[in-house]
Amino acid sequence: MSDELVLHVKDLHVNFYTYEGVVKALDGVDMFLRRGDTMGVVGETGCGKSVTAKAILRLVEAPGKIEDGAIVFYDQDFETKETIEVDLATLAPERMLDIRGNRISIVFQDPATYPNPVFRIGDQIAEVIQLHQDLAKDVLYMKIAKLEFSLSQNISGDDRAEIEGKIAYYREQLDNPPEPDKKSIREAAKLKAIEMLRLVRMPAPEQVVNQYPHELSGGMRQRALIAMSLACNPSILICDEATTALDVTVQAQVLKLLNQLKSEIGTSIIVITHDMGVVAETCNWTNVMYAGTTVESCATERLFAKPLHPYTDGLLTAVPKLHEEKVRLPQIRGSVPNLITPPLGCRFHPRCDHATSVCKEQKPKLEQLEPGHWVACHNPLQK
Amino acid sequence: METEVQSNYGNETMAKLLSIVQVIFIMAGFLFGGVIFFGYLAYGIQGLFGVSLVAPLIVRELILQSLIVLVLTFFMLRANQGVTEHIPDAYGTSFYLYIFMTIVYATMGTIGLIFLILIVFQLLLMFLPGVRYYWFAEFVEDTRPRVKETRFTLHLIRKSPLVVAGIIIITFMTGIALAAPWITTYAGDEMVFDDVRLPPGSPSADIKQIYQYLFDEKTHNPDVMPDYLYQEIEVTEDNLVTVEIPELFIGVSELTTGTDAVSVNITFRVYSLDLETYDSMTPSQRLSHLYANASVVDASLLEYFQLPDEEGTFVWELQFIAAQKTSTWSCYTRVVLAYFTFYPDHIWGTDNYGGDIYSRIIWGAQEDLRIALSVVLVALAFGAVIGASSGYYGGKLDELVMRVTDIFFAFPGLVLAMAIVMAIGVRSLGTISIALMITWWPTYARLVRGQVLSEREKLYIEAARSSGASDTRILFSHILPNTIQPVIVQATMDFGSVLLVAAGLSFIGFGPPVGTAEWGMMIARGQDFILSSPWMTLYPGLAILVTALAFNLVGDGIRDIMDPKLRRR
Amino acid sequence: MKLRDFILRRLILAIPVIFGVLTITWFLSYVVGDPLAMYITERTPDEAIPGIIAARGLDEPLVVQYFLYLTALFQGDWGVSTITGADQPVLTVLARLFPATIELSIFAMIIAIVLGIPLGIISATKKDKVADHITRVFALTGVSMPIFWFGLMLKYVLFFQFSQWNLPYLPGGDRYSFRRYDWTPTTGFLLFDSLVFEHNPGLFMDAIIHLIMPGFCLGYITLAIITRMMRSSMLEVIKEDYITLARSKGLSERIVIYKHALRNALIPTVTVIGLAFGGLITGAVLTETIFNWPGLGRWATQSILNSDIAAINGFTLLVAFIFVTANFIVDMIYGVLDPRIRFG
Repeated sequence: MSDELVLHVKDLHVNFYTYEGVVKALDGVDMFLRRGDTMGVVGETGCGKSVTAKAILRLVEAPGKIEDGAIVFYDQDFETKETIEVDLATLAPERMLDIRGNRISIVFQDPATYPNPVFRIGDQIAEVIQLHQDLAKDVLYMKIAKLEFSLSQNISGDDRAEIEGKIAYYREQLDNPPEPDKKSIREAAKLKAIEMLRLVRMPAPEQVVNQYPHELSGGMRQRALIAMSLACNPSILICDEATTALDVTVQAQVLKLLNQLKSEIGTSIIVITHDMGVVAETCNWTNVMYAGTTVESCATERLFAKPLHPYTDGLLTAVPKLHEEKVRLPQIRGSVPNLITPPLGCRFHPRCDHATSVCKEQKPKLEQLEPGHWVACHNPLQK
Repeated sequence: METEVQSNYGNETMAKLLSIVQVIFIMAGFLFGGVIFFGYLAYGIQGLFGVSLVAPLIVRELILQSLIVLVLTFFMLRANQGVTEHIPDAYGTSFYLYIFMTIVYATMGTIGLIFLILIVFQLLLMFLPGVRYYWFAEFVEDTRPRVKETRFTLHLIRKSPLVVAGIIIITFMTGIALAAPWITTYAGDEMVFDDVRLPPGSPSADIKQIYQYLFDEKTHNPDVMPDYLYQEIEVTEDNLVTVEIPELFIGVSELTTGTDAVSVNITFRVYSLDLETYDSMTPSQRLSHLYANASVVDASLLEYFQLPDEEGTFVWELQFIAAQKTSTWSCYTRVVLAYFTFYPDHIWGTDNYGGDIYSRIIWGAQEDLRIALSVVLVALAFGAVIGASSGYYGGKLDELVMRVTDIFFAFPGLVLAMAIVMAIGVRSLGTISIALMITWWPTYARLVRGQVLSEREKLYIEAARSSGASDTRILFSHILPNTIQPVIVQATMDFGSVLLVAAGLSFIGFGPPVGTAEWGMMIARGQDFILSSPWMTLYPGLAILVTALAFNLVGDGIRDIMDPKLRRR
Repeated sequence: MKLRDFILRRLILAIPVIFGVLTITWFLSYVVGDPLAMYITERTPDEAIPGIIAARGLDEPLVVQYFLYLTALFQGDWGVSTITGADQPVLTVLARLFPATIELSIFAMIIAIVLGIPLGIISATKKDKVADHITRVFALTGVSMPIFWFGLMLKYVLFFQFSQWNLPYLPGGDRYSFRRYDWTPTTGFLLFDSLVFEHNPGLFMDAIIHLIMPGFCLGYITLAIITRMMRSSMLEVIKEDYITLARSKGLSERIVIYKHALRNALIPTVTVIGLAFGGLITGAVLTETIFNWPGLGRWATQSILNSDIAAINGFTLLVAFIFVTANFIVDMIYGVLDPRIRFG
């Protein structure tokens, strides 16, 4: 876990303008993702996790609008290790196209509805590869590989010499590869797609590449979508409830896969979920959200051991544990607030047992109350 | 929250009374509907056996309504069971049924009125506090989300310029059609033979005679003799526009003397005076200004007097002179100013028979709008009933209905309608209406069936939970409201489509032979003269275009608005 | 399920419908007029009549008549049409007039598709803006106009008025300028014949020019239908999840719409195109009369007005067949576009 930030969301505000009123979906969200981390973002349904994910990629659609705040992305080139700082919230839309699918990718929740049903899996993966990557070198490698394969088939001496000559010619061009033709690009992209499918442990990738989404099972489809999102070696991969729609066993496989990929590719991952178990399994940093704000953010072990925010404490207590005997499942009293008319001050105060008068008036800021432990609360828990 | 709406207890007696009145209503409905419908069938069957009796007019006119009444009354019967047991759903169902029945009975004249009174009575009973207790609270709960949706829909409608424009145009056209007797300058089938194929804005070459009744009394009973009437008349420019000279007519006829044998002298005089001067003069003074006179004794007086061919003021005077008073003498008296004037200008020109295009378009609006309305409503009612039954009860009935509609759909609409018109034989607008009703009902049957099917799937889960909810109640409280939306969209657009096909049929020649103003026929008349008199086809076509476009704008706009995937909250 | 099974299945399902159509047409003609009229004309000598009655079984029970009718139908004997003056067998008349109508219909369909799909896309992507409103009014006007009136107005303006104003004008009718060109029909499809058999590009251009007005008149309604359908299916598709995914991959909005959305939105539109074919035939009936087009539509109108039973029968049957075929083709295209259908 390095100390370098790769993504810093600062005080993000997002509003939705609807017939019933203005929904203040995000009211000051803060997030810090460090390079190489897996950060979990937890919270109840409706707390704004998905909106934040979409906001990072500027996929929030009308009637939603990013009102205020910054999303600072520290993009690092994989080879040169150069860092470029970019504020995604105010970036020009055309520049955003270079980032999506390329530097930052997202995997969505439901593998049934997210792939395009009329295109083959391989084509959909190849599409993102062709879009963002310069395949000139790959085309050359591909041609060399084909020629080398034909070499291994016993051929006569003259042809042999010819083929070896071609191979040498291609190898020379590797430093300054020429512009390849469309057909070769497509072929190279498809080969890369097969590689990606292999990377996500897809069985029989050469066959899957030519199949349609409806021919695959849910788990396989999700793997394909993950392959799609990792195809261009993004700095950040966002998983928006990526395992929620899967069976528990498949879920476990996919989580394991994500962890392995992280070390293989070096992507920083944001895992959005409402399942604390997933967070405990895969994330080394956790960000707790409630009703459009970040309430607590720290290392996962710390969060589970010593939560400082009453909401986090409530969440953890509510998760039934195998070794405990309980007559009633504990719950946080009350319900999620209406985001059109949210409570004044701290949004959690109506449900909080430790609320004081200042909680009703002033919204708490996210502050580092202990080293490496940020909390937004006027009366954090002391244990 | 509920306290202001209901009382704290239910009134058993009143609820029972409602139940009983419902039963009476149901029995009356079955009786009426049954008699008419099965009576029609009986006549029809007799016809098959060669006995050519024609059903009385009332049976033929109300046949469709009787069918709908039977169906609705059947549902009412099922609802009544629930009402007797004080089940809230049943009251809601009854309420909706009352609304439907009101619409149907309203079209049935005097007989319908009796039923309407019964309905009003039942509604009153239903809304008594003592009875409201049993059902109103739940009903409000059920309908509240629907009301909210409807309000949102209306808001979106107001925001959509196309829908608003369409509604305005439709209202305008309907208003025009209804106001036809007042805003048209000619009657619908009037033909002025001198005014053939005149361009728009031409004055008419023909003149007509106008009778302006200045005095008209059926029984003039002179109680006092001598008795005389007088009145001022003014000959103005309006009366002089033509070459013909205006005339004054006096008619005293139908003399009855009654029991008294009295001799009455009737004298009619016209003076070249105005009223003031007349009043200030004595009878003898007036005589010097006498213009014309006539008199009879004990006989009818019927005379025409020519007036001078210039503007002027006159006073006519009618005297009844008798030897003695009589109270039984009476007659029919009228004084009429007969003058000639030109026919009104032809605002939009005339056609090749001399019919005024402007007026014929407005009268045609009546015909075309009536056809569109009746065809869509009947096709909708018939198709919806069949489609709903087919979708809800499924099985063999459903299969049969599907095959039948498939075959109907295999033929393009116009072709099918043409075949039906030929089969019926009579060429009139009524036949076109019937043919179109037969062509269109499968659309609604399929539409409603589809909706019912998808709703039914959702509701089986609910029905398992809400034990005891009968078919009727599910049908009315849940399925029906969700079916209405697409049906409304389809119906609105079909108004336009039916209009077009009807016009097309009359254009080809399936409408009434000649005369009746109808837009399609007007275009047919004009097609041979398109090059010399384009206005003959231009205006009726525009009328069809604007009207159909308005319906389509509304229908298309509403569909956009109601589509759940496109609604933005 | 393979593509072959898919096709077979569709074929088999079409058969009951065709039989239903045959039966109803026969029944209708039986009810509407004298069945004998289908097989005789004024010129048939009286002596021949009893023979015809026996051959067709017209004095036999209904069932026998039906059976004989069906067998005759399948052997190509569709009765005799009186109005063409020469008492030609209905099938011959159909064969002669069929190409003209089909050419016109296909031309109209091409116009409708080429204009309709882009308009629908524009309308959907610029929803509720001015472009959307204008396109919708344009499309709705197409379905609100009586086609015969539109044809008349087109003729008046583009043919008559333009020539009055000394502008280049379109011809007012017919398939080609027969005063200027000669043409002996080989296949009956003028566009094809003129290039392949007559080697006359001038005739080809002339035919195209003659096709413009009636083609547009006929196609406007279908254009409107396609535009509306395209608009609504695009609007639905744009809301789908895979569009969000496509955007998240960094694809430009243009590619998202024209590649990912369009392919999916075309599916229901294609269905509508198949159904619209029936409407085209209907429209042809009216359009051909106005533009003096020597096709089936004009012949159909005349037969109906003259109660030429055999002709009406033949026309109805042909229309129904075309309809069923068009739907079948649409089903095929549907299968190609949507892989989910293909594989069950």
